[in-house]
Amino acid sequence: MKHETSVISARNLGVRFGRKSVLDGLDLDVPQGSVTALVGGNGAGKSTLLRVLVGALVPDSGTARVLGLDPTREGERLRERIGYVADRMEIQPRTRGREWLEFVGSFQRTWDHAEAQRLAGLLQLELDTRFGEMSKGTRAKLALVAALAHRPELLVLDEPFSGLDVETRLAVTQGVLGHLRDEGRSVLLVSHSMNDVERVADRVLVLEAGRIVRGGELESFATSESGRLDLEYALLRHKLEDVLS
Amino acid sequence: MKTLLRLVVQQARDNRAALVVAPLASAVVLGGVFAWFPGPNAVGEATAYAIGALTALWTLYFAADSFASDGATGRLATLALLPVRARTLWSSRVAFVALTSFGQGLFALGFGLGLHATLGSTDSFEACIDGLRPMWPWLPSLAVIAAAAMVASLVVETALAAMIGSLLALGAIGLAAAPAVRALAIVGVDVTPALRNGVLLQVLLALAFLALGAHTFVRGQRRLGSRSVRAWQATWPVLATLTLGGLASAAEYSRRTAVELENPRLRFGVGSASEDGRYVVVEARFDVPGNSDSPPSAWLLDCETGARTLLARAADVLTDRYVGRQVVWDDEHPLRVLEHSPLAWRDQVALVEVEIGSVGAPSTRRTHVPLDAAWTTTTRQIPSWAHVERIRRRGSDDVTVVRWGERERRFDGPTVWPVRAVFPTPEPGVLLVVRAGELLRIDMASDEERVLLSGVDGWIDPSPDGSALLLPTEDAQHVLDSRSGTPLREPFSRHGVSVSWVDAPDSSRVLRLIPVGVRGAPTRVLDLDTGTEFEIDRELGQPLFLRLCERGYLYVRRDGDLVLTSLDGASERVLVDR
Repeated sequence: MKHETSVISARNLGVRFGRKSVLDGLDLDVPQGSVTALVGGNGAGKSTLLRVLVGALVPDSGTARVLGLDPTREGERLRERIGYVADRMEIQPRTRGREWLEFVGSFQRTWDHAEAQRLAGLLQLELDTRFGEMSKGTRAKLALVAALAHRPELLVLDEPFSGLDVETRLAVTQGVLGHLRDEGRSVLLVSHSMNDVERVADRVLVLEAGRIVRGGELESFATSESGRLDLEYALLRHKLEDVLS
Repeated sequence: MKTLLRLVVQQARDNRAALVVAPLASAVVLGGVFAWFPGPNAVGEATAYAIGALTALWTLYFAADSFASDGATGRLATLALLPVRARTLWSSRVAFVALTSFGQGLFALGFGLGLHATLGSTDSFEACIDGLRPMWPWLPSLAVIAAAAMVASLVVETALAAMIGSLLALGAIGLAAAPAVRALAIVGVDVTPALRNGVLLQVLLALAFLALGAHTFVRGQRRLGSRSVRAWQATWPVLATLTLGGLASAAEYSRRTAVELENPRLRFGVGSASEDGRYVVVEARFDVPGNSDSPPSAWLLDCETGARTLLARAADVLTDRYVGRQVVWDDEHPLRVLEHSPLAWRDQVALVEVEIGSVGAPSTRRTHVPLDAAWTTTTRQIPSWAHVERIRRRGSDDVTVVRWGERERRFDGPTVWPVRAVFPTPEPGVLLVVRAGELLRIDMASDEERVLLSGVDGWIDPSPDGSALLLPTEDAQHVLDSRSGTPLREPFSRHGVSVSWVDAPDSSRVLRLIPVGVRGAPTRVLDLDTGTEFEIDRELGQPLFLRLCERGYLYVRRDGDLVLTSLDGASERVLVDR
């Protein structure tokens, strides 16, 4: 699975929360310029993996390199070069969208105010709305703008379409992710929508019980019966668990 | 540095409501204290305690909330994704807590002192400053509290849990310290000198907590929860903090305070009168349950005018080492009062010497001396011919050594003052000794021993000038002349009356007689020299009882007033109306 031009490379990653093993000797490679979808059921370790890759969580074992940097030791430099949208973003309810973007931008050397304005316009984001008054979708838009306005080399998205309306989904998948792919930048995203995965991803990784159990080009999943079943099973399982929980 | 500053500013912005509410609450508390406490000393001291308590409480609150609610709501997880080192994020929280604590403390200090400067009196302002002074050495404890609460804030999800957790942790460290120090001492490592350096210890403890917190945070091993914090969750930690803190500081205040003498809950203890009986230095303790071990305050009282001066807030009025009663207090011999730090025992204490001048009111002189030396500050030898040394022995009777020139005698027996087993009489070389149930007269010149009384069932209790003594047998209390051992009057029945001396600065010999087993019975005063006998309505729970030469008797009446009764008991003057 190893690519010579991997933007993300992880070996034998392990994370435990108490007795529970969330990542269990995980190996991973994400090629440069690809849009890679990470799919799997609830508790498979998707969000934990992303947090390890952006340096927000220190793994108990294994190594990872992202854009050639060690997230554990060089997390600060890494986060200047990547954009990350977590599955959930929380800030003080009184903070306005514009204030938050100014705050985030003050830490990014490559922050582009014009790009932030452009993205906000594209996503129809009202920047003067207070965070506490924003819908889930609006919050996701704000997180996207904050993750993209410094023109990252790698975008890491944790369920970015959750809560977005159809129009905005299209704007994100075509206007934003398509644009990134065209520029040769890389994307790693977690999603549970077959449509979204099929629309934006060119590679798919299936995560189960803390390990990558299957991975490859999207087309190989589509053309192989077992691959399509694996993918549909993973996405269906995620949805079912969501409903049940 | 810019990154740190930006994070601190953002933290302040996020906490703006708390940053406004905290000083308002402090102002309300300090205003309440100022309005409610009576008298300049009480209100000044209460303000000082309130300032200290408020500073500690707000430090605890802001430190306990430094991560807890941000972690619970997911805000911390969002911040952790900025291109900022975990160490910088941690440092920004430490800086915010430090600045907030400093700011809240400064506000409370300024507001409290400002109240006294503008609306109070010079006395209350000075009392407030005096009350604050002993708190300075405890300033580093704010860092300990803050650091412990920040660590707790990392592992729990509410500020209240962090506050309780950190206090429990600090309490556990305190409890564990004593056996640990003892265990180290057993293996020959004495850490007591290091422990005495409280400031160093507090700084080290704070640094240890901060290092632990930084390590925990940088490792990022915490589980970030997803619960949102509702308004009440932010409010009730504040209320709980103020309530618990208020109760704790009120309890502490009631334990160690010098309120005005008019306060009916004051209990008057040991007193010493000047040679002419005009001035009295008296100990006064705030009498509430559980307060028996706290140091009393010491007051100088002018029995002619009723004027009083606070000498020390946490004091010991030194008694005469030889007679165990009040010291001689005249032009040549100043009265000595030890002033301790009201919050903790220290090696150094202030020795306040009250000197009777020939003109005007007594003057005071204050020097700092080692505590050990202060305890053994010598007074006079009574009688002057004898040098008495008491040696305490663990597990057996003490030894009393009496030296007269080259001669020396040793005796076993208790050294509990004012009673004793060995009593040097005013006659040079002559001792009265209780041994094996007999009162002996021992002449140190010839070593002759003569039995004066048999069936002795207790110890010698000398009169203030040592010229007479009380000695119990099984059924009676004998009053004897200390030179000859002859009875001065008929013995009292031990079953009917309790007899003891009334302390005095002169050579008067007055007994106080309290009927045994009769509740509410008055105290009888009996002057052995004049035969005058009368009853007074004295509060038995108030130990203060002095004869002030020709001025009369000073004691606390049953209604609580401190009164001066004439020598014949015919007239009475209220000195302190309580």
